[in-house]
Amino acid sequence: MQTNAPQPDEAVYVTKAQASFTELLAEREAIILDLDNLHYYTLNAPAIFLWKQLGERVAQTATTLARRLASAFNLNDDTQAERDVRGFLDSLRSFGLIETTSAPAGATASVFEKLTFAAYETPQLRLSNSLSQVVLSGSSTIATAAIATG
Amino acid sequence: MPAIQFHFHGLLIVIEADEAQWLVHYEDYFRAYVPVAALPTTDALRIELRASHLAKRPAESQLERLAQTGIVSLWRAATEPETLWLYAGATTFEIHPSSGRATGYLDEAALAMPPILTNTYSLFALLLLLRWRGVYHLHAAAAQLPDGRSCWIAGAQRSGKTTLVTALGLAGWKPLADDSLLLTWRDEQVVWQPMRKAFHLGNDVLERWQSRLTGMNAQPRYLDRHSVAALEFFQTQELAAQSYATVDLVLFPQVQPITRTSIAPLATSEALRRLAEQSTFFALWKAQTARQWQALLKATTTAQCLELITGEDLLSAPERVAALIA
Repeated sequence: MQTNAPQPDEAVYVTKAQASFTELLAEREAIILDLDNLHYYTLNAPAIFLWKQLGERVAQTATTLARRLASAFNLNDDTQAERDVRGFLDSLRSFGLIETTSAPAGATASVFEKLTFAAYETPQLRLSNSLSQVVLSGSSTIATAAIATG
Repeated sequence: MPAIQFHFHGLLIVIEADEAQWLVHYEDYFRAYVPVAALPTTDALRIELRASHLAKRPAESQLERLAQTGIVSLWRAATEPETLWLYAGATTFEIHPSSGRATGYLDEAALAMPPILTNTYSLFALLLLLRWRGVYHLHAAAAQLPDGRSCWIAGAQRSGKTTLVTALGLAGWKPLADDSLLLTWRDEQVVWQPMRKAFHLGNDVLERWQSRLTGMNAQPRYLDRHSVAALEFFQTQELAAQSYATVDLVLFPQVQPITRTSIAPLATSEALRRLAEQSTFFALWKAQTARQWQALLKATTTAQCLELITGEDLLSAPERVAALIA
């Protein structure tokens, strides 16, 4: 039986509280709005899987995440799973969406174990754009033009 | 001080002015909202309109610019971060969201263009006061389909929201708003309501549909638009006064010089991003952003999202376009 116990030198990750995750199509379409900087991200199926593992503290280290990813998507190549997970964690870290914690990794039963997942592709977190600009919607452009023309 | 006051989406609004004549345009703009005679409570949102020489603008060096669209800009004072300043050429608004008060300082040029004053400048100040109270503005039109489903039409200026919602009205839908919806939370439930006001329809469209819009009250507004009494014409005042929990269909129109309108599904993730973009002041005040985002998510939970490239047939055969969407 596999365990979620981290390797001694492995960081334990948790998702940032201000990252608002919403699953739009079960296991297939999801978004994250980072409420700190209003960056808006879309995730593919493996990325959704990994984010939920982190968010629900099912798996929180690269090793345990890779094991679960390989299991969920029927990957035979553990090396690929580990490489993809580390790449994904690098993306999350660079965008500031995860933090390391000194708390031990969680061992909650996975809610995914009985689900069937889509065909595997590299986990992707795509920064769509930032919504951080304060928007003055409405008729202001028209009004501006009206004033400019008297 | 002369004043008008009315209930507006669960809040009491009081607009006061140094000169009674300045209020005439506000009475017209908010005519769908029933005036109340009761004394305003401390919960009321207040907008005062005063002569421009009374304004005490902070020095520019003390201001941080939050937003700019054309000559309209929003600023925050470094020394008084809760106070916002909205500059718009001939008007300046000093806004204190936490106390629900705004003061508009007007000069003669502003009063020469009252539709802009009522529709744009004062509205921005009011939307900031509403936002602080958890009432969020969405730049979108709305209609009800003949089968009872509800529909939002969202998009930037000139994307064709007013033309589309009016065309759908001619095809038997029930238009509710042409560019402004308000979302809020009530007892942890999301509700959205159309903002009831005149539609602003392009002169060319009005002329094109002259025979079909016979009897619609239309007043010249400014530049190439007319202010039209669309809710009265389509007899949807009562529907527009109702509250809705969810929306069934969200359309994102775009006008193109093509013959036939085309339609395509839009991923919900992209639709939500566009709705956030059309949410006025979305980035302002983190706690309100989070609540507004959750409201958008909840209202659109089961919505079908479509991108609509509108062509010439929207004007010539609105029924065909309506059938395509429905």
